Amino acid sequence: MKFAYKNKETVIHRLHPACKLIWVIGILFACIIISDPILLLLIFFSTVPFVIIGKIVKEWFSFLKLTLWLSFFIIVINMFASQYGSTILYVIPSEIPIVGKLKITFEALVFGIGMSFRLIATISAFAIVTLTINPDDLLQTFLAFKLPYRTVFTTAIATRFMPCLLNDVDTMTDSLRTRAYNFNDGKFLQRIKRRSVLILPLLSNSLERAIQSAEAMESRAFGSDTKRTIYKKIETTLTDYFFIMLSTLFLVFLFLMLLFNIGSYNYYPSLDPIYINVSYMSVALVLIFFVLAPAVFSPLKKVFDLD
Amino acid sequence: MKKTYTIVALLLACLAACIIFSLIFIVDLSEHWGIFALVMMIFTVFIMFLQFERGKMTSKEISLVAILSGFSAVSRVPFAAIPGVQPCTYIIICTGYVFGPVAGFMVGATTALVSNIFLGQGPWTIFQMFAWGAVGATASVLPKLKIKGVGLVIFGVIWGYLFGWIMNLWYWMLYIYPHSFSTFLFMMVNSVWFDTLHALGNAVFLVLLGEKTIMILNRYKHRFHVEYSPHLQTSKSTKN
Repeated sequence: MKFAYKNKETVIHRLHPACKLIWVIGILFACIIISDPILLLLIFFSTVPFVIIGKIVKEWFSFLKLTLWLSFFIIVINMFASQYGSTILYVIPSEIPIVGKLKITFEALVFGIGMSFRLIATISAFAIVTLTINPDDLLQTFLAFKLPYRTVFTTAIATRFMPCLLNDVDTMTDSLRTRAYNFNDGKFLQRIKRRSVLILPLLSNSLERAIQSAEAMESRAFGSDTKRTIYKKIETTLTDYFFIMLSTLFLVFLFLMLLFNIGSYNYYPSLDPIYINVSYMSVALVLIFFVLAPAVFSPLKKVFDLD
Repeated sequence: MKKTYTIVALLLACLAACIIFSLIFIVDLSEHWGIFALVMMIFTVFIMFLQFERGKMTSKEISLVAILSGFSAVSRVPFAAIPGVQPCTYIIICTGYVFGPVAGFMVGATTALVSNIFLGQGPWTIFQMFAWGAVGATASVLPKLKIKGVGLVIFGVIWGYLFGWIMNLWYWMLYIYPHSFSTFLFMMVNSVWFDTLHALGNAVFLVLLGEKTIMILNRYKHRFHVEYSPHLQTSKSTKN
């Protein structure tokens, strides 16, 4: 297990974490309030340029694999569970106890597909953010948002110790293997039992580490002063403020969409017709603009912020 | 304590304002269940974080909570090959049992956050934080009710299923329609295999390692927690 994040020198990686965080919250919010399948698909396609510019295509695909599996479930569950549609495709001939006769409708199928677009768009955005924000920078941004210090600090220690603890697991596994201990013998219960020998030594080891890190904290007078110094500070330049403003405007636009009920779509009892007129086009264009904006303007980081 | 109540009251007021606002302006509220669920989860997690912030904790206890979260996230690795089995839940139960509700919640919530830094964040992170946090917080009630042994194992089994149902919620609310009991039942039936494995795994871990883990944690708790009693200090000084 390694950090999902890898340090690559692309403009997407260099974007301010706050901008990317607000952007992903915006996409999640958009995916919740919008149910129109075309708009959802457009949001998904608008996230793709980030993947290409950020050079994270391979990792991004591995995230999407999981989505395909979940999407399949969404379509199947909706097809069987929803009985509201009017265009019947198939009626299951035998009666099911409690539920009765089930019918599969065209509307339920389209709803399932629309919802899987919703899932794909959300997960694509989250994958981009997970893959391009350095975990340390993320935690510092949380602090800048005035999130409780102790909580963020706890998460930071836990994140930093993970590779260390993973090394411990590897060492212990190897030492047991050299004594011909087989972790894969037996069935379900036996396998759990065989692997659980690792847990208690690992627990004692990590608790000893906890004492060491606490002593290190105390020797630096942790908690004695509310004014804290930070080892590495993220600089916020004028361009960063511009990007943060763009993402915030995205949120404002979404709030307006929610207020005027734009982007919602009725699947049941029969599909709403979609009129691609000027107002629909303009909403779609503005939406695409805001989703794409950080990627489109990202070269500005290269032009204005020289390291 | 007063301040905590004020914060909770303020958050509840905000929530009420959100709901009233939406009732007035949004025609069909049932379409936006997802947002409310998400907002409420975030509030709950945030309130517990504030509680952690305000409690009296030494640096040793803070580092203990951090390392235990890291440990429980790492413990997922050796068991990754067995589907559904996650030792995190049993570790979080033991932590809540020994260190109380706030530490239990924190270890649960941080486990989700930290392991997802490696496995990938998503809308499920906040639900995992809430679910595992709730496991830790509720486990703290057990020692007060003097439940141990078999009771602890039953508790683990129950949470194996409850955890799965809470995780089904985000999926059900955002992607399934209509929001009726029958669709939720459908979801539960779909995930019952994984939940059973999770519950079974919890039971096995608690039977095999539960008591020992609690013993180890108790030992470290005594080592870590130092209280300075003014009464003792004065009596000592008079003796000298």
